[in-house]
Amino acid sequence: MYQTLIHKYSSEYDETWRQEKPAHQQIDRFTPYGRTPQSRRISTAVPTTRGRRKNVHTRTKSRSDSSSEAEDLKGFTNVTWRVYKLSPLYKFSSAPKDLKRYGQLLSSCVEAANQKGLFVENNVSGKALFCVQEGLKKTADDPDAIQILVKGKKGLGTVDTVILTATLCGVEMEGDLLVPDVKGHFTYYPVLLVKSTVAMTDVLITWLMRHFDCKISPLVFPPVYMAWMIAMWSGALANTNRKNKPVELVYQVPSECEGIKKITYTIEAADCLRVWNSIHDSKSDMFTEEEMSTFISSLEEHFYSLFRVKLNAMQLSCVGTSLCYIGRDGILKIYSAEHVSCILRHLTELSMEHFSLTRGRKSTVTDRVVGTKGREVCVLYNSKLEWTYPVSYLRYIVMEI
Amino acid sequence: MGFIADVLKSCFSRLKVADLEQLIRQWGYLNNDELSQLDFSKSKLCVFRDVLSFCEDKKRHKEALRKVNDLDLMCTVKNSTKKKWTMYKLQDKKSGSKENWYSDPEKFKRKLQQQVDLYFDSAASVSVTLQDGALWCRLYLPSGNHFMTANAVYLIHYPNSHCFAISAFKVSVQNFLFQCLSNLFGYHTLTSMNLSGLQYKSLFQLAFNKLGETSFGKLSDVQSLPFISRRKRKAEEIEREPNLRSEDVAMKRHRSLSLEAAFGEYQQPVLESLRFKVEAKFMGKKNIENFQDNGEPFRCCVKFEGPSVLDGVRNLASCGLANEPLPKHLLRVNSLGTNNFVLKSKEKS
Repeated sequence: MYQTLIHKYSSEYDETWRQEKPAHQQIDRFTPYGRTPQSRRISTAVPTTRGRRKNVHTRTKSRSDSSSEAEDLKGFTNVTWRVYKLSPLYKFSSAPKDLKRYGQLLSSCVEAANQKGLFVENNVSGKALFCVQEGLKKTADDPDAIQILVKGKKGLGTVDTVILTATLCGVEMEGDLLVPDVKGHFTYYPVLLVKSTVAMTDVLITWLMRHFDCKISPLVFPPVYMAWMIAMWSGALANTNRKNKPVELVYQVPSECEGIKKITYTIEAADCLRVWNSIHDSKSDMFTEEEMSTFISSLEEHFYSLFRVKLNAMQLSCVGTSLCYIGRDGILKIYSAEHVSCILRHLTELSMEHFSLTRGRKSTVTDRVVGTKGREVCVLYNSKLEWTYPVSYLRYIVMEI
Repeated sequence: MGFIADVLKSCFSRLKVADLEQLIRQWGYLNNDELSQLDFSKSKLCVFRDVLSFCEDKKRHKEALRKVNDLDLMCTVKNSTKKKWTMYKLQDKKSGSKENWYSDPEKFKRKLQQQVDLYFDSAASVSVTLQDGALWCRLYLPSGNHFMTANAVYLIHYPNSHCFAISAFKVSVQNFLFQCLSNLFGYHTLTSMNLSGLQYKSLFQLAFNKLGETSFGKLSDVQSLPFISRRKRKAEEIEREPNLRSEDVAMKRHRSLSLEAAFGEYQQPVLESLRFKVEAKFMGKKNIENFQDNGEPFRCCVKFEGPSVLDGVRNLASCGLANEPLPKHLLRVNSLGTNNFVLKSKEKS
């Protein structure tokens, strides 16, 4: 069916066809069959924000940071999470009986993986539980956050311990990216947080992808994202009664420079706040890209004056503030229970930006299908292999054309 | 025998399979018959069980315990980079004390054992060996009946030098431990040099550059000390490849000459980290219009980390990631003999 669509568009494309088609259905065709360029610019799926004014919320909209809510979300703090982004889940339900059924299915999957010997510690027996996580549904558009626990005995232990903790959530999702026609079939969770071993995490992700026909991949944070987070959260003091953690920037030194791998630049929270307040009006909720750039460049300039080392020629690999610690490869550690929603809201926004980007290419998806691989479809965009869309999601995209 | 088994297990877990046979033979506790019965092609666990059974068969508990302690020390000598070493210098010689410089490991061990018996439990044990001109010591200061690796303290000392390297130790034993060493060396004060790392030879080289002398004389008279590295650094690619052409030869040559003047032509001592604690005026306000300068310093901490940070600092300049001239606090690490610095703005008088 998809090959037919490809032929349809490619054979019928000419100026006449283009003029006949309504404007919203016209495809700006880019042919990959030109001359091989002598140089390439490496493009990423990250929206470039240079030169454009971007407003980012510094405070949560709903302002319901009550102490009871912070108590509910305390389990998110002081734990190292791996962050993933997801495509919409097909036929997912948060009804209690469905959650119970998912738990049974995942338990049997864990047991099967254990018998195959996938776990380093032998005899990891696990019972999976799915339940609704309270405190993360802020708006009507947000889906019910789901917590997944796998409990079991490790090795020769006799006591049950939690082997895996995961949370599916979307916090303060602005607008609904799913059109009403397909909303009944799909549930969109932008963010998955997982704390477990690599093997167990793989089992969970594989099960979710197979069972709900979705695509899950790590949510990586390029340096520009981390610069935003530093600018947003270094000004937020977690608890004024306690001494705040210093702001930490970890730069990765390029591999051509042998001998040094990384440079860690740690700044006292109060001094960092002083610089930030000189740049940003504290009364304003929003701040701009210019403010973020000025903030980072002034810190790097101070470093240069001390050591004559150009930090702007290196890439940020990890950043830490009083609120959280974030690594480029999708590592997250939250320190403040009161700001869990704020941080998850930002992660939701980043994940949804990725989703919007890929959805924005929907008009070229049909003539970029390069092959199928089991239940997935490989898509070529701008000479680069992008997301492999599950079949069900591709059906959803095609329905919109 | 449970204690001996724990010590042996700790040794075997640290050793590589390739080094196991050589070290067991070098150990000298097992006779030729027993050595011939060991099958080193099997797993470490099998060899461990065989060695343990030989130790138990000997039925001389004290000697077996002493010998496994020696093996533990040999393992540490073999894998010295697995421990983090901290340098201390000896100051304020005690009046009336003779120069307690021992190069004989047995004498050193007897003296150290006497001091340890004064301050610690009689179960505390001492092992000493001589390796590459340095005295290596292992002190086991027990707390409880079971063996714990945290109770073992290792020490390296070059005879006739005013410094030593020590591995991590519990804070609870610091006072008594330092009292032992103070009596042993005949000095009142043991001061931390704020110098630590994994490569003990580089640490001694840096400490020596700072202290500058031994009982034999000044630094310039003792260039042939075993820990002084005299290897020239690897040539840059542009120097190695005659077919490579650079577009800005003059600039690169100028940079290369200035770096050679600053760092020398030899390899730098190996340091894994360089830490700076800075309290200076904020210097990044070029693009900030209304900076709230209340006169307070801008406090930050900078850490350079890598396999060889001093070489890395040099390479930062040669790669163009740093501009010359580099500041003095980066250039003078070699002579200052520390890898933890505090930088403060000069106060206006």
